[in-house]
Amino acid sequence: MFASLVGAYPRTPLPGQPFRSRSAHARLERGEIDEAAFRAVQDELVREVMAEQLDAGLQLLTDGQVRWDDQQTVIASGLRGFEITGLLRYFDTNTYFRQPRAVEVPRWESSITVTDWLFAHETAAALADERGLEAPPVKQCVVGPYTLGWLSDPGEIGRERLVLALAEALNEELHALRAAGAPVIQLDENALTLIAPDDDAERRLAGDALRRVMQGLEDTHVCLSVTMGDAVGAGPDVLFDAPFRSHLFDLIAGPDNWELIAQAPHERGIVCGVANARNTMPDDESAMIRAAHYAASTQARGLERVALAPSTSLEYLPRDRAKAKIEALAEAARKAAITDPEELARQMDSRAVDIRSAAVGRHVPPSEGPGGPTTSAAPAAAAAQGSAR
Amino acid sequence: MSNGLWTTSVGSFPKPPELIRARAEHAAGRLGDEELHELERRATEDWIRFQEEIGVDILVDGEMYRGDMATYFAEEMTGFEIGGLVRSYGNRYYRKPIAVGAVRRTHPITLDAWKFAQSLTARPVKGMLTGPYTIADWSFDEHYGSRREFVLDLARAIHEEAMDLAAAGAQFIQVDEPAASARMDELPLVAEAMAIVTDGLNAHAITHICYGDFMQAYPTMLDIPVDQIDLEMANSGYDLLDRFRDIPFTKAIGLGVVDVHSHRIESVDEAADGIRRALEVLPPERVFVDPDCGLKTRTVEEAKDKLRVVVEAARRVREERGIGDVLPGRGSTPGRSLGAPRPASA
Repeated sequence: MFASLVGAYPRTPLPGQPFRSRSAHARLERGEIDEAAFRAVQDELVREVMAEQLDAGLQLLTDGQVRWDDQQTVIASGLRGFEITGLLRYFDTNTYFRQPRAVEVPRWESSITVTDWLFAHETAAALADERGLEAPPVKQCVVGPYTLGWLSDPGEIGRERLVLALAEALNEELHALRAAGAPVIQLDENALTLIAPDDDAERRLAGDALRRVMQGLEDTHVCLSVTMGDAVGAGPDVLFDAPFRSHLFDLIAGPDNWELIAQAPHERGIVCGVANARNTMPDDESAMIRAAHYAASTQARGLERVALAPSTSLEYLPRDRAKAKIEALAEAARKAAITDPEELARQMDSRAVDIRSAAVGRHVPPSEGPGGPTTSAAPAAAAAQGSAR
Repeated sequence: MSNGLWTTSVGSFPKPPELIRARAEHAAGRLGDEELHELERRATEDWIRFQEEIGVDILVDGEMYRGDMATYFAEEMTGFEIGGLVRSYGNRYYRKPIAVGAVRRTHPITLDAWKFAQSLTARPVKGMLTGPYTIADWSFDEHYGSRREFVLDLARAIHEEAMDLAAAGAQFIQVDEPAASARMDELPLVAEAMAIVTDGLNAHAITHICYGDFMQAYPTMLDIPVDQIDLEMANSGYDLLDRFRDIPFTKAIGLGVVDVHSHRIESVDEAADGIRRALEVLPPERVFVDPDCGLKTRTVEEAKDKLRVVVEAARRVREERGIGDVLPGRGSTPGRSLGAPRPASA
C-alpha cells in the first residue's frame, strides 16, 4: 500500500516563489539562452518536484513530466514518421496539445524517454540519500499506442494501421526502458474510455495493440493507466488480456471503473485514482481509505497489491493544491495500510468509522465517550455533532 | 447585389510590450491604476486605428485590459476567488478561478471598455463576453456541486452584461464558449445557458467555439440560440464544411481562415481558398471572415500580418463574386431560433 502520482505534476511555482521555468522558456524562445541552459533549469525543476513528492510521503515517484509540452508530441516527435501540427484540446480539459500527423508508417529509431528516466532515477536516489531514506523507485510514463493513434491525424496511413505500427514502435521504447532498469513503466491509455460498449472493431484493435506493445515484457512491471473516464466499453478482455502487472483507474471521472477492478485478476495490482485531480476541494480521507480496502477485497487481492493516486494528472491544479493533494494521498495510504481496525479508528476522523450514527446525529466522538481514545479530529467531530442537534 | 464576407476578429490582440511591462509593474504594486488604464486606452486606440486602416468591417477592442478570458470575468463577480496558475499549453498559463459562493454580477464589467472603443470609431465594435459554460468549466467549483446550477447562475450574470451592452448600442455581441465542444453530453446545457444570455437581446448574437471535436458537436451545436457561430476552421483544415452538405448549417458562420497558434503567416491565396470553400455550402450573407481564435498569442507584427491576410482574402473573393460590404441590420436573425435540423419523423 503506497501512494503515487499518475504522472504529471504542476511546473508552476508555489505561492511567492519565482517562476523560473516559464522565464527560461521565454528566454529560450527569444534566443537569450541555449538549450543546455534551459535544460539546467528543467533539471532543477525536476529535483524540486521530486523532493516535494518524497517529502509528502509518495513511495513511487515520477519526474512530474515537467519537461514535456504534452505526452503526444514528445513521443511522436521521437519516432520516425510524424510531423506536429495544430492545437487540439486534450479530452474535456482546458489543456491543449499539438496534434501529431503521420506522414509515413511510424518507426522507433532510438530511445525517447530513457534519458529523462535515468535523470529522475538518479535524482530520486540523491534526494533520498540527503534525507537518510532508501531510494524510492521511479516510474516512467509513455502514452500508449491506442491513445496516441486516436489523438493523431493518421493521414494516408489509416488509423488501424497507425495504431498497430505504434504498438510495435512503442514496444521497442518499453524494452529500452526495461533495459535501462526502469522498475515500473506506465502505459497511459486514456482513449480506452472512448470505446463504445457495442464497438467490437475498436475493442479488437485496442486489444491487438495492447498485446503487441506488451510483447516480451512479461517479466517487467508495466502498469496500464486509464483516466478521464471509465473503460467499461473497452471491457475486461481488452484490459486484462495483455500481461500488465497493474492497472490504474480514474475513480472520479469514471466511477464505473469499479466494475473492472472487481474483475481484475487476483495477481494484478490496482492503483485507485481517488483524489480528484480536477478540483481544488480537499478529498475525503475516509473515502480514499475505503476505496483502498474495497480494491484489496476484490478477488482476494490484498492490500499489498493496492495503491492510491490522484484521479489523473495533477497538472490541472495550482501547485499548492496539488501539493496538498499528494500529502493527503500519502496520509490516506499510510492509514489504509493499518490492518488493526481499532488502531485505524484511532487515527481517523471518528465520524468516518461510525458512519451510521454520524448520519443520524447520534455520533459521540471517542474523546467524549467513557474512556474513549482522543483523536486529533475530535473538535471537528464535536462541532459536527453540535450542528446536527 | 448580395452583401457578405464581413471581416472581423475573434476578440483578443497581443498587448504591446510597454503594456505587458506595465501590467507586471501594476501587479507588483509599483504602478497605479490610472497609469495602467491610460496605457490600456492608448493600446486600444492603436488597435482600433489599425483595424480601420486595413479595412476591417466589425471591430474589436482587442481586450487590452484583460488577462485570461474566464478569470477576467470571475475577478469582477462576487462568489469567486482567484486560484494559482495552471498551464493551458506550452508555456501558457492562467489563474484559474474557484467558485466559493453563489456567483453574482454586481456591476457592469465590460461596458466602459466597450463604450470607450466605440467612441473611437464610426464602425461597429463587438461587445465581447465569455460564456457561462466556459467560465464554469474553466473554474474549480467548491460551492455548487452541480455544474448546471453553476452554469445557469453565470448565465444570468452574463445576460445582465449583454443587455447593458445592447442598451448602450452594441450591434454585435459575442459570447465566447470555447469549452462548448469538449463534452458532447453537455451541449444541451450550453444551449440552455445561452438561451438565458440571449433572451430578449436586441443585437446580432455570436458564439465562438474552438479546438474541440466539431464533428461530434455538429449538428447539435446549432441548438445554441445565437445568430452566428464562429468556428476555428483553418487549424482543422475546414473539415466541418463538408458536413454542411449533408446537414445544412442554419446560422451565420464566423469562418476562421488563419491559424492563431502558428508563427507562419498564411498567404492570401490560402485564406481566399478557405472562403471559397465556405461559399460552396453557405451564401455570402451568412459568412463572416476572421482568424481562428484570439490573436493574443502572436506578436503584434504577426497579428497585424494575419489580420491583413484576412481582410485581403475577403476583399479578393468579394471582388471575384461581386459581393458588397453593407453590414446586416441590428437585432436577431431567423438563424437564432433555427436549431439542428430534425428528422421528419421527429
